[in-house]
Amino acid sequence: MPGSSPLDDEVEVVVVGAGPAGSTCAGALAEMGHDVLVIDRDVFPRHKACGDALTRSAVEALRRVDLDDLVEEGQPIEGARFVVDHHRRHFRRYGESPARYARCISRYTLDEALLDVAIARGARFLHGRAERRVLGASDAFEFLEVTTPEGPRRIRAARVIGADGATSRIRRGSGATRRPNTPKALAARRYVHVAHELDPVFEVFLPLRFAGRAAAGFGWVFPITGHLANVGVGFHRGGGLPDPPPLYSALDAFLEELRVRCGSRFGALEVIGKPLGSPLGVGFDEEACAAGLTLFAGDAARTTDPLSGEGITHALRGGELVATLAHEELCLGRRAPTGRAFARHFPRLNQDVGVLTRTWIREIADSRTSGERAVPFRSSLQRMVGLADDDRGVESTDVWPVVAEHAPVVSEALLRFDAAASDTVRTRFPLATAVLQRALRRDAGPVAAATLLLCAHALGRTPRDSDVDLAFSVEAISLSGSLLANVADPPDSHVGRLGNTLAVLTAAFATSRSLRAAARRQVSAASALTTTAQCIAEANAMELDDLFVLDRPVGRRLMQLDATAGAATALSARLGASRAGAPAPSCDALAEYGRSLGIAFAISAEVTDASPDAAPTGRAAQDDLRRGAYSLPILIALDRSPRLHHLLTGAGSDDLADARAEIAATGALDAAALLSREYAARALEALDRCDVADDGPLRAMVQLAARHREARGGGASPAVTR
Amino acid sequence: MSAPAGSNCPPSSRDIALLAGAPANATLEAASAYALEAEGGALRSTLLVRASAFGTGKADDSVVRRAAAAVELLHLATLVRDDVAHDARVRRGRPTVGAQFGIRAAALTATWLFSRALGLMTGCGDRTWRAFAEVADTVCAAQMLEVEDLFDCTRTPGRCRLAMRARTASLFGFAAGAGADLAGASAQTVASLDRCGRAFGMAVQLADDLRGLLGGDAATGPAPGSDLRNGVYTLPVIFAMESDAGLARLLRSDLSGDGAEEAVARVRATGAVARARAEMMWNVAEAGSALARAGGTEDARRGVREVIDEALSGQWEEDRHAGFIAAGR
Repeated sequence: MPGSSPLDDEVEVVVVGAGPAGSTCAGALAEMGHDVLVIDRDVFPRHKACGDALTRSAVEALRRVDLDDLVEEGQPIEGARFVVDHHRRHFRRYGESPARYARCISRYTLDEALLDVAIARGARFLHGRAERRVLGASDAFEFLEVTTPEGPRRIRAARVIGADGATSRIRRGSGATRRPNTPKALAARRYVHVAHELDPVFEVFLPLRFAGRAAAGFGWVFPITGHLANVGVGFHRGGGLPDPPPLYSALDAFLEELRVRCGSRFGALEVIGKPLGSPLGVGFDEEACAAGLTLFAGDAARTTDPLSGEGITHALRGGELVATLAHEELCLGRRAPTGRAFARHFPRLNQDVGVLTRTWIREIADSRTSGERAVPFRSSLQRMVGLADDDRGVESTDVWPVVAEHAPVVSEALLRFDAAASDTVRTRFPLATAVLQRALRRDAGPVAAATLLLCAHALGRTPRDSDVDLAFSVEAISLSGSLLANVADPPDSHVGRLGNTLAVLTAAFATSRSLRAAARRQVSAASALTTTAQCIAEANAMELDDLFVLDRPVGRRLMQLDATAGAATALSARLGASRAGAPAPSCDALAEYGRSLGIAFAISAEVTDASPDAAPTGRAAQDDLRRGAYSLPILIALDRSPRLHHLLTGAGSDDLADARAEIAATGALDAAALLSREYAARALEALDRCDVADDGPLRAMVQLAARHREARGGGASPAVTR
Repeated sequence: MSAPAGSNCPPSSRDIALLAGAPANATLEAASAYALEAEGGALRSTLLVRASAFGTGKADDSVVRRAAAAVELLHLATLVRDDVAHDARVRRGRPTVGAQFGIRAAALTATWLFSRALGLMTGCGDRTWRAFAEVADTVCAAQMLEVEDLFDCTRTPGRCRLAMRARTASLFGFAAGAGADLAGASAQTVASLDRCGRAFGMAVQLADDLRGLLGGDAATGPAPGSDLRNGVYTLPVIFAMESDAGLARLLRSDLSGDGAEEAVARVRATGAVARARAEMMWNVAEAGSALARAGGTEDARRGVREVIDEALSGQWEEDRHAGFIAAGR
């Protein structure tokens, strides 16, 4: 009888795989007081197929487990350089201070250090090959059979964490299947001694060509030290893509290409050791991140970024996440929605990149025939890579601390709103979720949603689920307008077209989701929402008429802000008040409050964007200037400075930088900030006119709106710690 | 259409424009008027109006017309959005809204038409509104699904039909069902008409896909193989790839020259066109039998039947034509 065979060991949690995900998870669980055993088929240190690149988010995760020394010893990386066809380059700097640099550390060193941390925190290590076995029926334990050098052992565990990589045996043993139609990805690397000193940057070469054909992927040169480089290639295969070249031949071809095309820059290249290659853990499936009492992490959960092929960041952060979930399962007895947690924290995972990679291929094929077309491709690619930042939750927005401090009940509702919004806007469409989520975090955060909940609360109503749904509806309507501002006209590349597709379809999707949610709750609110959506579209069309109009009156812009941001928050406030059963005069006064509040917020955001110190990765004012979309501070500055007229009609990029300085010099930013404060005062006046028991939180919102915020880049700067 | 003004007459594009109202912006007004002019057969609104004859006769004519206009506006919004998403310059032989007024104006026009569609429907009762909001959401999600599958040679018939059902059939089903529902028809009649509408919608989509593959009439139709060049692999193409393994490779290559015509010839050679046409016929038959189950008067059924026949009459001719060519070879 298999059930009666003797057990050699009994452990609370077994973590299979001591890579970044496994060790992080094991260490965190041990620290939380669990009995943890880590099993790996290798003894450490050992070599691993990897790009060895650590993003800033990964570096932060390492610092969280006190590996500061390891980080300091690693090669600092100042930015990423994209090289298209060996002559067009684009550099994206990570920040001015070394504290914001990324790192390059070989997995040989990194994985051993992480395992040492786990052991120091109390986890035990066992060298062996583990398989999941069904030994009798039990819904309280999992059984593992481990082949160790000393012979086989059987282990019983209350939880198993499968962190054994893209080819996970634990995952296969659990019967988790691969979703059809997902592209598979491969990568290989080789260490290379480079004669000339390497630049401290991640260098990415596009497109990846093999035997005259383009593959959907890239080649990389990442410096481990000044003269030692990790050189590799990674690409998608399957999913309707052209037949891929053999992995190691592609790597050889890339090395040869570097020798021929970059000989003078790198000098002699001398390969060291053998090449290592492996499949990547892409093809995330929310439904397949747990099986029975087993949770998956890292590549075994397929959390590698489908676009960049970067896996360590999600492995480290996913390891932490899974530890928390397992801890909750063990202590509170509730089942953890592992896949949903991954999808919420790493929105880019839950996407089908098939269409994106296919677009890449077409773009590359085009750029071969016409060299110029690769330029918009590059900038669009930048924009998409810029979306790589993971979501940091509603807690990262400016609205959050105000709500949390003044109305804890509402902050709880705001969290529910955020979870509902994330779930509602989740799609498998490439990057749509990321686009929508970023829109939800833009500027001060979900102002419309917060206004609705706060107004209801101020009138004595504890926010219910129906209020939360309605808050989502209003917020979604207001953000669909700003999404359309990203439409490029004309789109001059396949990727540019994809960007437009993304903007148009996500905006429509946000609107339709909003109305559907409202229709399920309250049809009368839904009809008000359609009217507001219509007003916003009309006001945005007005903006279209005014593109490049240098003498547009400031009042016209204010009118437009009134009809967009103002209308959305006015509706929020009115809905919040009417749901709390307020009499008509109070509803009207609160709607007036909302309108002024929304405009004040919008002006503040425009001031921040127009500041010369606005983060370069944010919704840059330079972009607005180039597109001829002149915000309030720009219009005020135009009114004051004839020189600015001249600079803006010049249209060179140097002129635009000068223009930004000129805008600041005219004092237009202060003048606009003053306007914002004026609207804030109007909001307070309106508030005085209505009978509200506790208007503290509503007043705090006004203060937030009027505050000129320091440049924070619209939530796009990725290095902010959670 | 020559029918006299009355409950059987769908709103004309002029009526729809009046019901939609004018946007408070000149560009948007011009662009939406331009989009409305392009309106072709008005199949969906006609279907809704004709289906209202299944009721007990107490249909409020103005409500039915509002609903019909809303359905047509939603369809138009989808088309304009499609043109932006696929960067199309020409539709039915004339420049698209994007080509005429700019892409951003087109995007805003789509949003405006979409919100007007839902706005108009608010006057048609809560139940209809709710159902319409669901359909609008389904159509939006389907557009994403379609883009997801662009250039995907592994697209399966199942995924393709899923997109067709969500994108086209859902709105046809709604139109037929809501028409009867607004006129106070029984739940069973509404359900049968919904079914009839869905099957009809599938047939219309298949006819459209065949035009996109084989080319439409010379003046306004698409050029042969235009769908293939745009990476839209419709049901006949998917059928063909099942039996011609080399076709996928051809599709991945550059189709800007003669490649598209060669691909179309290869699709034809597999018999996939006939198979797709058979599926279309099957759907027409399905629509017919659902219609027969819907009850109602003889006139009411004939009204809907006419819409179906008229919409697909061109296809019968093409079918005979195709049969003739096949026999000739």
